[in-house]
Parts: sequence; structure tokens; C-alpha cells
Amino acid sequence: MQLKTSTSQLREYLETKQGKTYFIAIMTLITVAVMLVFAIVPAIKSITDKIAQNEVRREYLNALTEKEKNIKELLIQEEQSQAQIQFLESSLPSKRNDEYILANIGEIAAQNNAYLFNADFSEDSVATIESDVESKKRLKQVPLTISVQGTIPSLGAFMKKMEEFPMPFVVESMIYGNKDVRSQNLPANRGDSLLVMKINYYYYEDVAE
Amino acid sequence: MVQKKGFNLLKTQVEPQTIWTKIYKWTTTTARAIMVLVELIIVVAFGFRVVVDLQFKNFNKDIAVKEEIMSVLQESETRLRSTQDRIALYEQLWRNTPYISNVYLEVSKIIPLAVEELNIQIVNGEITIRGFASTETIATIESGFKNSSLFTQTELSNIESQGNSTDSFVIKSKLNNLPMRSEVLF
Repeated sequence: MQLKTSTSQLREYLETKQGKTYFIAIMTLITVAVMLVFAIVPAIKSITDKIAQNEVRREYLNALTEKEKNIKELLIQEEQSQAQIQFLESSLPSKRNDEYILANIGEIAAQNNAYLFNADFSEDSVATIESDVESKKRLKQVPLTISVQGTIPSLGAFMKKMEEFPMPFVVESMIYGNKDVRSQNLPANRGDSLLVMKINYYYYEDVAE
Repeated sequence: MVQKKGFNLLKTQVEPQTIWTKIYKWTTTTARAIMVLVELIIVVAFGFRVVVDLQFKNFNKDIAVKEEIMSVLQESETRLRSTQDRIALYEQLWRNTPYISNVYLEVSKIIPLAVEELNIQIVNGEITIRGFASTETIATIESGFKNSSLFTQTELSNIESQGNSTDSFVIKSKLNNLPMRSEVLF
């Protein structure tokens, strides 16, 4: 009964000029809202989404182009720097090579009137150097103890040459003097002093090879 | 034939509009305008969408080509990265490791050849010198270490008489301002 009265009231209200105007205004608003929600917003959103996707692709493509350009430039540099790369390969080799080290230290000793009579290579491990290089775990250090006989000046010259050698030999500790030559019954003609050094040599385990 | 002319002074009788008349009028005016506007927007949006779709397709095509090129360059990239890392590590080995030959040469200058049973140890930044020498020579060695900029905290930690002209001695000192290899050699 109450509902019927309300409906009649509404109908009567709609018959008035004000009622008709409000009704039309509401219908207009509803139509505009429906069009916005179901037509305009989805259409615009599909475009903005696609533009966003395109932007991501554009950035990726630019990054790829830049990377390609850099690699090509580096390849040219690599081609022009073969001598330096060869030098690097011999100074920081990609494989452990104890024989090569032994031959070089022996040669340095001989050139400086000293005599390498013992070399003891130990197990290698990851090098303990502070570095932010990503692949630093591939840098391996090989501990090595060498015994060199000579005079104090010749052993000094040997050390100097060894530290100047392109391959970085890092001295961990050393003992030297003229005490042990006699106690170890070493030939006196090779010099009166003995140098025992714990050093590390390094190699870079290259996975690219 | 003569046509009759006249005029009507009566007010036009306009029938009051019902709600349905209003709705009809609204449908043919405002609603139509809204629809036309929406259609225009949709058509323009469609045009834009076609353009961005074409761009999307072109990007995908270009990316596929670039990825193909990059896959060919992958091996070179790995090799180049490896070389770059190796150069950086090699440089750091030179820059961050001490040059110990200077210490050896300095010690050789300080300690005279007269010292017997000489034994010098350099471990963990500390140097220990043991040997047999006269009291004056030991004093010279000690002052030599104290006056050298390469050593600090020098102390004569032991001296023992051997009942003859020589005494056994132990001098300890710490390495100071040890230069890096790159500082000395470059």
C-alpha cells in the first residue's frame, strides 16, 4: 500500500516540469557514466597499456643496440690490442702452470748470480684480495716456497727482479741470512746466504676458454 | 483564383509535454550527441591503437633481429668480459700488494757484513733480526732501524754475551709505510 503511494507520488512528480528536467539530467549522467565505464575508459586504457608495453620494448631494444655497439667497439679494440692480450695471458695465465713459474724463477735467479735449489708448490685456493670484480672467485693463488742461495747483494737483486716480473709474485714471508748455508751443508761456492720465501703466484681460471 | 489572406491573433495551443515526449526529445538530441561523441572517441582510439599495435609489432621484429645478433656475439661477450675482469684483477694485484724489495735493500744497508750467523725473518709485517756481532755493531744496527722510515717500534729484545768479543742479539721491528708495487714500479 505504501509502495503504491510512493510510485504514484513519483509518477506525479515526474509529470511536473522540474521532475521531467531532473529525470532527463539523471538519464544523461547515467548514459555518460555507462559510456565512460564501458567504452571510453577501456579504449583509452588499452592504448595506454600498449604504449607502456612499447616503452618497455623500446628501452630493451635501445639497451640491446647499445650493447651490440659496445661489443663491436670492444671487438675492434681486442683486435688492435692482441699484443697486450698476449702479455696479459702470460702474466696472469688462465691455467696453473708450475713448470712455467719454476723455469722463470730459476732463470731470474741465474741472471742475478743466485741459485734456486728448492721450490715447493702447494694446493691453490681462491685469491684473498679485496676487489669488486664480479668474477674474482676465479682468481686463484698458488702458494709456493722457494729457497735461493747467493750472496746478500745477489739475493737482493734476485728479489728486485722477481718483484718487477710482469707476473705478480706476492711475498708473504721470508727468511734470509748467512746462518743456514753452513748448517744445511750447502755448497759454499754458490754464495754465503740463503733466502727462503713464501710467495703466491696467481692465475685466472678462465671459463670462456 | 484569388487566395484569401488572414491573420490569427489566438495564442498557439502547445500540448504539455509528457515524460515520454521528453525522453524521445532527449534521445534524439542529447543522447545522440553523446553517442556521436563516444563513437568519435572510439574511432580515434581505434586509430591510435592500430598505430601502437604496428609499433609493437615492429619493436618485436627489431628485438628478434637484435637477439639473434646478440646470440652470435654471446661468445665474444663472455670472452671480452673475462678479459676485462682479468685486466682489473691484474691491475689490483699490482696496486694492492706491497713491494718488499725496498725492505731487503734497506736492511742490507743497515746491517754490516761483519754480523755472523745472521738470520732475518719478515713475517706479517714484522721483522726479526738474529745474529752475533760486537756491542757497537748491535748499537749501530739498532739505531739504523730506528732512523729508517721503513721501520717503526724497533726494539732490541735480547742481547746475550758469548764470553768473547761478540754478543748474540735479537732485534724486532715493524714494517712501516711499505710502498705498493705500483707506486715503486710505475
